[in-house]
Amino acid sequence: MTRTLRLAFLLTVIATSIACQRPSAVHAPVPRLVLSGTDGRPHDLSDEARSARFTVLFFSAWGCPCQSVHDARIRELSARYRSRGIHVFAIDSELGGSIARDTVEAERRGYAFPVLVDPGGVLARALGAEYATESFVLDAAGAVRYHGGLDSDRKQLHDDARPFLQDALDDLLAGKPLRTAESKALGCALQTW
Amino acid sequence: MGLVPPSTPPPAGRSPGGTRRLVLLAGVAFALVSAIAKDASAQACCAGSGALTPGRLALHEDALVGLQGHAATVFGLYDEGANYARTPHYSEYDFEEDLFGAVRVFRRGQVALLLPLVETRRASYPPGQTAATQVGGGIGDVNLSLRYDFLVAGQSHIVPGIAALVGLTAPTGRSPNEASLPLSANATGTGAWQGNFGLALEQSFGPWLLNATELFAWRAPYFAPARAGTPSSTSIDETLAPQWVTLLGASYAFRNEAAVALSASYTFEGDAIINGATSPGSRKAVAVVSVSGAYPLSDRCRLQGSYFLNPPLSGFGLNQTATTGLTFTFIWSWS
Repeated sequence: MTRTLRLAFLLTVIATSIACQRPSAVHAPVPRLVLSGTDGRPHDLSDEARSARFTVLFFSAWGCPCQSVHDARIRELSARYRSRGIHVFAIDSELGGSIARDTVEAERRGYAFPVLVDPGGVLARALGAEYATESFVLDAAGAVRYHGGLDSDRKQLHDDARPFLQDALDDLLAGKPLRTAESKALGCALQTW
Repeated sequence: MGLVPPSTPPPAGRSPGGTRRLVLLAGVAFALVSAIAKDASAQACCAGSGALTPGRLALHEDALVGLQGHAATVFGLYDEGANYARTPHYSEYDFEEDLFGAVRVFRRGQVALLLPLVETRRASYPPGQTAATQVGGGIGDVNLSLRYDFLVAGQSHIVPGIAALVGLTAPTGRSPNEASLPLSANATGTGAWQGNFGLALEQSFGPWLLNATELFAWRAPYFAPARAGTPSSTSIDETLAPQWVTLLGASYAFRNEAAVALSASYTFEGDAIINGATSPGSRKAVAVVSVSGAYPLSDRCRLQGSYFLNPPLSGFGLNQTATTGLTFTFIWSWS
């Protein structure tokens, strides 16, 4: 019986590992979607990607403490790379997302970039975004080139923190292979349904 | 993990009046904290789960190690008929230090290992007889467990987070039947291999996290040789009945990711089979209520503490001692 128990445990481990692996989002194309923004304009993601050298999609959850901690970092990153042809959009895929709510949040957080409302979490599902602060970098063709977190620290930035998103943007702008093409987002689960 | 009470139920004790006051105070503190923190907004699934289950990896964590200290005292007893009584001629102090670690094995899975060290002091002072005090301890039963979160709390406002739990407990401790001391103070485990299977449901509502967990434990038959100095006929083959544990909990997470939690559990197992025959009246049950809190010292380390109590009321236990105690946990994590 003990042997059966051990075998059952092992099979459970193997089965879950096979069934639950997440495919890489890198190289996946962004879906053809038009999302309303807090700047009052509709945004066709494919067109947005074409109009910039690279586009950052920053999935957001306003109730997540990690989001608040990352506010300053995404603001700084947006300001630093705007002149280099990189556009940043925050994406609200959560239930209850609306232009009114997101406008208030964008102002409160000092976002100088629009928040796009993703009703029903269609974009989040298409890209496999599950967590707040999960970020995607799109190239001009609309393909995902980087997927993951802003950096390696969840709250305060330590001296040894790795700025994954910044490194990815620098590498892409320099035409170099990415040091890290995928990393882990450290925020809360997005409530999309 | 918990120490198995001696096979002969001990009488003895101390007044539970102090523990009632403590529970009341904890409840009032919990209510006050909840009422005051109106702008708390930490997402419950990250911080709240740490208050309810300290050894569990948060969403963003890849690994953790922790050390938990546990101290408890016996103040009463639930008999075979679930009647509660104080134990004026018996005292018991239980201590446990658990070293544990968890690693993320898949995106949503985690494997944890728990290594317990158990110490017990038991004293019996029957009226008119010589008091007997015993101290014992040793390594407890080592547990390996796997948790897989199919859905995380908060991902859907309709469907709660769903997790499967599987575990294996090895009888690395000493069972009460193998304990050499008459009061079994050096018993540190159940004596049986144990397989655990469970399902956990949890849902977050803003800073609140509600959790319901059901666990089933199957225990393998085991053989306990006769104690030294006793006839070989006193050796036993024992099969403990399957055990069911129901756990309900609620936690509240603050903006700084500190959290407080209130939980209750009920554990029940049927009659054991000893030497091939059911041993009537050996079934066990016990209810536990606890108040706990978790505080993040930094991104990488956190403290957790709890106060727990078996309610000193009839109907809340069967063939078990009633205890109260504290736990204190330090956790270091990597993400």
